[in-house]
Amino acid sequence: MNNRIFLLAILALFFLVNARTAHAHRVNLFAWQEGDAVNAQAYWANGKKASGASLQVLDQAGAVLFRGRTDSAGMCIFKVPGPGKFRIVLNAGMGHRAETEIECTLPGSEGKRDFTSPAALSDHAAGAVSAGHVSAFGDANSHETRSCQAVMCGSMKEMEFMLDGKLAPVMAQLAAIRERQSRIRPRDVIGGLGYIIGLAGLALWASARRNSE
Amino acid sequence: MHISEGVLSAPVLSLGWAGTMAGLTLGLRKMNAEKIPETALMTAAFFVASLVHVPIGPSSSHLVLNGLMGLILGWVAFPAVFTALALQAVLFQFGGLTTLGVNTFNMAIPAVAAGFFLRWCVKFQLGPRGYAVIAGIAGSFAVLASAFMVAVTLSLAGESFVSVARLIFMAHIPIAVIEGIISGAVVSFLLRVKPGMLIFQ
Repeated sequence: MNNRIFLLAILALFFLVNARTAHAHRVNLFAWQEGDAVNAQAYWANGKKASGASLQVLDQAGAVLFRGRTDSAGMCIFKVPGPGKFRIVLNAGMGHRAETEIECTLPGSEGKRDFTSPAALSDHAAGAVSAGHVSAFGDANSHETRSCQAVMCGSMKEMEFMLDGKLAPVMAQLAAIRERQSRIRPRDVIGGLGYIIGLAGLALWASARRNSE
Repeated sequence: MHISEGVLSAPVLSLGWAGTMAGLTLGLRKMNAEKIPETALMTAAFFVASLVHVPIGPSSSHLVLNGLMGLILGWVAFPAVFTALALQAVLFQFGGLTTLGVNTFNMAIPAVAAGFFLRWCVKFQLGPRGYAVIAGIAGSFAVLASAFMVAVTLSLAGESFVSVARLIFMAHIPIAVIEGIISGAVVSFLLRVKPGMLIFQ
């Protein structure tokens, strides 16, 4: 009689879980680079965006490079702090914390601290144009190669800029997939209940052995 | 209510572990063969309860059920909470393994207190309805007491106590109401069906 009631209670809890009313509290953090910016997005385990959470970017030595907060879409965008690995730490309050690592590269192949942004691009275009102008007056050969380099460099940057724009939805989708994967799955719940039953069995076995001795 | 890894300092973490170890020793000593199935049952209920979310404004909180646990298990709530939290940490990444001590302590101590409160009320010779009301109060109290302890713990980690406490209390008042009702209903049901399962028998 009682056993049947307990079984029913457990089943009822199961249905609650599977009715998708059930979510959990854990905060997940995802980060990806887009051009000269790093996008960090925070979700609760149920897929809701975690807004208003404080975010810190730390370098390998642990120095804080950036502090910010997530907006209503759980998003926090900051400039690439430089090449290398960085730690992003999110604190969503009430003891909820998440951490992720991101490896940043500087856009542009020259290795300089040169950010590909619309402003930087137009600077380059202007540079190319002015170089072209100069070549009309000065020594033709050397200026031509210089302006050619400038144009090449400019088109590289333009391409990277365009690629970033094209890849942005893909990156966002990847983050969304990772987010969905990190949600709680029914099989984790069932696995946990299995562990509990197994532990109870072990405890009963131990106590039965103790009694028989 | 699950405090994640990396929030608390080492002294707070070790203090939590010390308290939990003491509670675990006591609880395991009190756990006899008859108590094992109900311990497992309550562990399972607690394990799953944290997946049942109650929406509150923009945020939401989940059920805790620690009060009910204490009413049925007493000190044995310690091993039960510990097991459930360990599984939640490993399978769901709620909280964490280093904070397991603190989290267990914060949830199990109010549970044990709720159990003692119910046992203390036996001398008033209440009827079944009276016990149900007492159980309801104890169930609500346990949630709020845990919220208070979590707020104290987080304030030790540098967060301002008042703002954290207000946030956690606001999020858990509806939970406390729901758990009060659940605890009252379960206790009055058990009194009719299987009074031996409750702590004071």
